[in-house]
Amino acid sequence: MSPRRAVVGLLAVLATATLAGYAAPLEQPVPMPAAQAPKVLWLGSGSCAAMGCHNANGLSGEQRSEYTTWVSHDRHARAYEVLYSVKSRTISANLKRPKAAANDSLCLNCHVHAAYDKTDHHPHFAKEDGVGCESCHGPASTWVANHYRNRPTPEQKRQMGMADTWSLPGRVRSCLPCHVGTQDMDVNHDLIAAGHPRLAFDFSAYHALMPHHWQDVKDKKSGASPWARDDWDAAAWFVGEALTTQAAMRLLECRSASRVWPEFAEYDCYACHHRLQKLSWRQERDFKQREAGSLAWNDWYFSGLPLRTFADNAKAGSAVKSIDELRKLMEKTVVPKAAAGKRARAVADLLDDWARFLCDRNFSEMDRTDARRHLTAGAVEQAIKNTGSWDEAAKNYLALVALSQAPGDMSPKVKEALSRIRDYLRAPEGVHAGSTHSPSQLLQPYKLLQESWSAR
Amino acid sequence: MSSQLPTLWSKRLTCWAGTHLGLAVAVCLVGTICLRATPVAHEAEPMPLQIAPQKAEETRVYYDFESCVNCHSKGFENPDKQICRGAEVPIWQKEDKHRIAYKVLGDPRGLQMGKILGLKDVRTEPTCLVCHSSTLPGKQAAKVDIRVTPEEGVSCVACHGPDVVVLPAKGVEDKLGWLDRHGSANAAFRDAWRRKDRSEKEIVWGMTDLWDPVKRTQVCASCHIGNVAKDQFVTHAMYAAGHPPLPGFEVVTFSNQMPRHWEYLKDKKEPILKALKFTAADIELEQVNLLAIGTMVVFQEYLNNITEQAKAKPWPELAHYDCFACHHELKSKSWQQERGYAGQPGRPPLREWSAALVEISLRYSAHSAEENTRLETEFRTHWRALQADLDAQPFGGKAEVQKTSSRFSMWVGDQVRRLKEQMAAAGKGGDFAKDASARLLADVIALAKRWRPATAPGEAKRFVPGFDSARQLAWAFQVLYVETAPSHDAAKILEYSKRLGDNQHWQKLNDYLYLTLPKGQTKIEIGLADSLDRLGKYEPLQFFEHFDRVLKDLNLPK
Repeated sequence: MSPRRAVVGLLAVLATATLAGYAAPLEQPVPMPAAQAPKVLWLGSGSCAAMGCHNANGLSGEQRSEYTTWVSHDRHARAYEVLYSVKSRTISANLKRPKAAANDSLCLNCHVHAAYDKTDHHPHFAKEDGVGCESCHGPASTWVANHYRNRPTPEQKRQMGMADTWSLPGRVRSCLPCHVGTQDMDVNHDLIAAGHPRLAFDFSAYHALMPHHWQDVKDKKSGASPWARDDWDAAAWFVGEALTTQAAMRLLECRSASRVWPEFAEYDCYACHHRLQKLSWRQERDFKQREAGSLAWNDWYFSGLPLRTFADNAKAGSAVKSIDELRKLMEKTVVPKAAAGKRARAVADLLDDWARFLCDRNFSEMDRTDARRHLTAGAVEQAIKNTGSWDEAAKNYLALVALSQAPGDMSPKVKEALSRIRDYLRAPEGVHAGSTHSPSQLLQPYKLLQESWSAR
Repeated sequence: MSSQLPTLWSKRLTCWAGTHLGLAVAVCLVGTICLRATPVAHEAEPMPLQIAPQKAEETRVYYDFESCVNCHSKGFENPDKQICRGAEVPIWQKEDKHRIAYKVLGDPRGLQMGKILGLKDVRTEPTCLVCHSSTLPGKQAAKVDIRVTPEEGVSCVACHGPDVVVLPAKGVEDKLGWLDRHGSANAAFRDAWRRKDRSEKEIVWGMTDLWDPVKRTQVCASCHIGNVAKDQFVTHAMYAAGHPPLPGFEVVTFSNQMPRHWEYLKDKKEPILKALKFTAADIELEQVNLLAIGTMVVFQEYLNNITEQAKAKPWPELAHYDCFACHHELKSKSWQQERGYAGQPGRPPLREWSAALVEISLRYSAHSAEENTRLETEFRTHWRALQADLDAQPFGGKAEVQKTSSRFSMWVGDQVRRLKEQMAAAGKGGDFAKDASARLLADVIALAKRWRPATAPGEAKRFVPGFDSARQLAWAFQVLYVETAPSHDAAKILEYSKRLGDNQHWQKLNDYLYLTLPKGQTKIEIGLADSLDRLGKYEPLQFFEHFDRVLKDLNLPK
């Protein structure tokens, strides 16, 4: 999904939240299917589709209509089909792939499930189902028969082999391999140049936009489930950002071990992809921090925004410092491969600690307000100086939306300001707005936001 | 358009004047290749213009333009007996952008660049002066006697070469250099100079033989393409800081548009041509040879720069790659994506324009269809090898690229040598010269045909020209079309030029590709915004639409 779509849709999402919450323990990522014992079989989404189970043909999001919701509304169900499109065929041809996209494990690892060609499938498994139930919940052979008997707890389900999609970190991590990437699931610059859309994942936005086949109340009303927390929306943004950045760091580490280096997908698309102009603002504002003509590392994953909102926290402080040091390496004219990889790994480890801290935290009204003020003040400053990338502006916008999901947050004034920011960041049909982005254009709406928030 | 030949110089900056281009801030010591005391050193350079080692007591004097102004301003009284007209300096002084090469360093753009790059002063910075003035900045200045000030910009000495003299000193017999000899009031002394061979004038005395197409192109290329070995190169950092992009370079067009302060060979009188040892074929083919050889030399200089970069400089240097492969806006339907990729998608490609016309030159040099096929195959093999290096990792691996591009350069050098031999042979008879311009023109048109984007479904993808390649093609077309005027008859040439110039579709093409470089000593800024804008909007199909109509109007086969 394009960030633009996410931007558009997110605004419409008004989720509810209430009390204080239970913070789910931070789980280690679900083991990759490749690591599973050989007996584990992928059964296919059809095995969940009994009418008495998850295909009750109810409305979108109704209990027992999980399959129904997915198959009729969720674009994950079309993930395989898209491999037959003209676009996919073009990508495949450009890359001179030996197999058609629909049979190419490079594609299937995300468009069906991870490690597609290294795992075992039941004869009824149909890759045509795209990203189906098991792609997130885990291969079902070990648990399909008993995951509903005697109302097992999340912990018991986990022991049966189901993937954790309940806890916040578990849910975030079920998205990351495809939406950020791993060594074998890497939408790198080769793939993007061949025609694949760039990945730009934002957990809060993507999660809000995905047709929910579960009940929000189980996430967001404490007591409704073992993992529910009243601060779910705010926590989702903080934890989502931390784990996403961490995944991007791990990916960077993998990339740094490859011969394909520098990996341009690490960088800000629009730092290079813009028309050359006689008077370029880039010359005035971009080269204060880095060498002229060097590549600009992307701000989508590495701006460190959420960390910076915790200015006084030592953990956040050391992570920010580490990221800034890594940025210096990544923006050298000749990018030092080994040093960058090593530092990326160190940052990823630091972020582990940081994510654990966030998961355990109970985000207060104050936390949200502070974060919003901080983000808005930063945006105003950038608008005045006319600095900052489109990526950073878009992430900033998405953050503000994610942090304004409590009842009463979206006053008409706030809504208007956010809409204006969104409209500016959105691309006109066919061209990407990032190429012509000028932060000063956002000064007015951000000032409006600042006013309405300080008024309260 | 007319054709012309040089007496002299061309050097560093043309382009900045040019369209989207920029001042060649760069770096070149430009004209210098030939001017320097030490032999020029591209390792792989096949025709290393060996300048004899300077004798200990000899000095290379970089004279100022005032040294030339007395003779070369007002025109000679008896022009028929002179090699040149004697009116050259004012043309350079009043109309040529090389004159303001230094001045522009002090313009806001130059100052901004200095600031971004952290330079103390661009006006004293060797990496700038090396192309924006005639001085030899930095260490090299220590070995020579520099009397020219940077304020002159790119002046006479930059292209014509320094004066090799022995300065008067105690116990030493001084010796006059070419400056005094070629303009001596003593007729016998002057005639003795006249009788010298052009290569002797250059090698022994330092006067660059700009009539030699190879030499001329190298002199221009040292700034307009750059010379990494001499630290004369517009780096990506410089571009990022604001240096206008150096455009594709075609030596005939850039020479003609300087503006030309010299006469074409065909305009010179018989005795002068004889004295200079030009044959009928040299005269007839002056422009054609310069185009064919210049094209190869430009490509060779490009390869040499890559080789040198890989050998001895920080790697990668982004300025060696195609600017517009990255620098275009992202659109959902862009011609770049539609045309596909020669190699691995997502890896910065070479500056394709530099090789755009090589096929034409190869064809020109081939004696037979078989030979032509062999040459094209060899060319493609070399190109593919280089492409493979670039596919293996972004920008290519240093060691591999150095090897491949230096081998490629040597091959190109062989072809240049063959071309020169054929030129020499043409002077002694044979049919090489026959219809050369018409043959080349047909080749240019055929090349355009091969470049047309595939439109029918299922048609094989092929090379589709970017802005700079399309420009190379259009410039070559322009030069050659006028050259096809029968027998170089002045009236005919004028008629052909006018026919092309008046054609409304040619005018559109001219506008579309910014073929006419901006005239006058205006600021570089003028024209830059416009040319960059056109570049950004360029679409190959649009180019072909204009070009096809030109062919139709001129009754040339499509």
